[in-house]
Amino acid sequence: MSLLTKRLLIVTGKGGVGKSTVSAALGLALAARGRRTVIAETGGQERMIRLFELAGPAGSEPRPAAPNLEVLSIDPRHALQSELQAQLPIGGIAGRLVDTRAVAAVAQTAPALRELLALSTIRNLLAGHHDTVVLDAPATGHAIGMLEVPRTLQRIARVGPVRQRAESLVRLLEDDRQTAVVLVSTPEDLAVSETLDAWERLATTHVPCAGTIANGVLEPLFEAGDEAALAVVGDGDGPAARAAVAAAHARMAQTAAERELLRRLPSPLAELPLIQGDLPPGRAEAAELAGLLEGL
Amino acid sequence: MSLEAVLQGKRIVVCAGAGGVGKTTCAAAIGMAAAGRGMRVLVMTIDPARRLAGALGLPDIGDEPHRVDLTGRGMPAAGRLDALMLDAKGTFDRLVREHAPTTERAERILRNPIYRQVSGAVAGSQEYMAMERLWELHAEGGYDLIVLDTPPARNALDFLDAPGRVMRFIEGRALRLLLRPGLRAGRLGLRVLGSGTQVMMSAVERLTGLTLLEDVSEFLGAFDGMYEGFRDRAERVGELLASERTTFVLITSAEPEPIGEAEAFWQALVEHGMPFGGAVVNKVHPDHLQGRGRRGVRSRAQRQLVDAGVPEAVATRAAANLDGLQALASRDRTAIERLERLIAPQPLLCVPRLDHDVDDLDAVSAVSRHLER
Repeated sequence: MSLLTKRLLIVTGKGGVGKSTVSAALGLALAARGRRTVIAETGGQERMIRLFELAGPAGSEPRPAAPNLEVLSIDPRHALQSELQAQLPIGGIAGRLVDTRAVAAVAQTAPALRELLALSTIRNLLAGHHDTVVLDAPATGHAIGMLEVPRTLQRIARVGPVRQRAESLVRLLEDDRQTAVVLVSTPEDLAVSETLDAWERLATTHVPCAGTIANGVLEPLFEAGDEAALAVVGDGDGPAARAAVAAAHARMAQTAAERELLRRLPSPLAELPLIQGDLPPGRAEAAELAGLLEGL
Repeated sequence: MSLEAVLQGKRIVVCAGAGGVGKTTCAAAIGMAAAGRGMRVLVMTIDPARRLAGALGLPDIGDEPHRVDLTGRGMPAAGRLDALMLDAKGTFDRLVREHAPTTERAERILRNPIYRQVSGAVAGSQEYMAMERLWELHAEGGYDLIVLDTPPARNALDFLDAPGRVMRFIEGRALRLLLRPGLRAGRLGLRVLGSGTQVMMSAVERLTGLTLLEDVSEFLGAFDGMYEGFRDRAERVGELLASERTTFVLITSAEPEPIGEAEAFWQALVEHGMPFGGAVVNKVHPDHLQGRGRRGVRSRAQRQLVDAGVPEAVATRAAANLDGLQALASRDRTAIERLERLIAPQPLLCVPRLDHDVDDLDAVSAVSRHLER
């Protein structure tokens, strides 16, 4: 079953590999297919707000970013607060109380609860009018920890809403017709190693992993024979010519090293080119990458 | 300016910065450079992806220091490099055993499901445990220099505030307030301080399931009387980090985002009065023109290549490539100069992007040579 027909895509990878950019591109590709999509970012970095050039701050309510596409920021503390509010029998006083001690106490004591509620936010979006959620998850270690939370809480909480919530999340997360983890990696040694580690660890979590998307890949520029053609440049030639030859060698070496690294990535889904120009990438760049993901 | 100035008189180097900039490799390279001066060095990292293990060519590293094989790298006889990958949970367990009044109490805590769930997951626990282990190893005194590779921090304060957050968690002040009567009675009572608290209690109960709360209350009860020990230790760790034996080194790449984080981190260090040693900018794009202006370089290179006998099409590609790489180099230069001005007079060291991105001991060694330049 193809990736873009899933209901929940969990995008993770090593820090700095472009998870948010890939999440935005996946969101745009899904939206282009007519699926009502929401990109949920975690960690409060407001990357989506900046990428889609929306006025900040990002809120916990979905905000339109493009046709069929909304973005929101999941704030675990806010999720916990609204949950407690929903559980409390009275309105006004409850709100004030929830603001203070209960939230602090529960949030501090049970970090897993926060993550459970963050994941519940996603399930609620899917139960509402969204077809697909793209979760711009934290870096691999933290993300996998988060994906393990429902199972852990299923063990700890023997009764009550937490138990029910955990059970329903386990059903969603472990259903490979609905859910897929996508690992993003750049063609860098450490990123590839971390991706391979994550791939192995994910296999033990029961959460299905669709494969890897390579991001920031240098586009082939030079052709076979170019190296030989450049060999005529010698010490007597102009400094710009010599610099161009050195730069060409650097590029060729890097391209070759990247190909080697990309071969190690498990279950490759797509290769996205390195974005030239200013960082971080914006809406135009994400749209360009989305075009390359449409076939998934 | 060289690394020498940064390390002068220091016993601890804390490497801080964003993820993805090669922080672990740089931390190991700083360690290797110090070992090259005949020092006994330990590099500590905390890393779920076993990053340092890869960088140092070790199959796996445990919670104990392992010797890194530096034979054939021209190290002085006295020089020695050890590496340790921190096991946050293992350190937490050890602390519990150390501070618990009885073995039985320690076992009770270690068995508690809440403890087992949170000891690795409390915000800041990794950072805190890194500092704990750092303190232990520093106190043991087997090393001239300890280099600590910190977990990637989104926010500088995450690292500096970690001991405080872990202390607040262990104290569980807010939750204690909520559970006080229950704790006193040895079980979770419903006779609580006021009706407001009772409302909250029942909400929390309904949300979590009663057994979870019982576990929490048992967890906090088990920690009773252990706070002082923990707090003393956290204070001593804090003092060590702020002392003149320690220096913080920022590790960043020249990309805008990590540079921005490095600047914020520097700000936080200054505000906290922490000792700051300098910055390492890793993966800098090399300047193939060696300082000569970039303007018109594309057409100049094109012309010179064709003059040298390179076919037109190849020359066009090579000139475009040079122009692209020089654009990256000049973007890096601008970011580096800004950071350099900010942190002056502390030094900024540049490490160029290496041709072969393989993070093995050779790469560590190459980075270390650049730091020594």
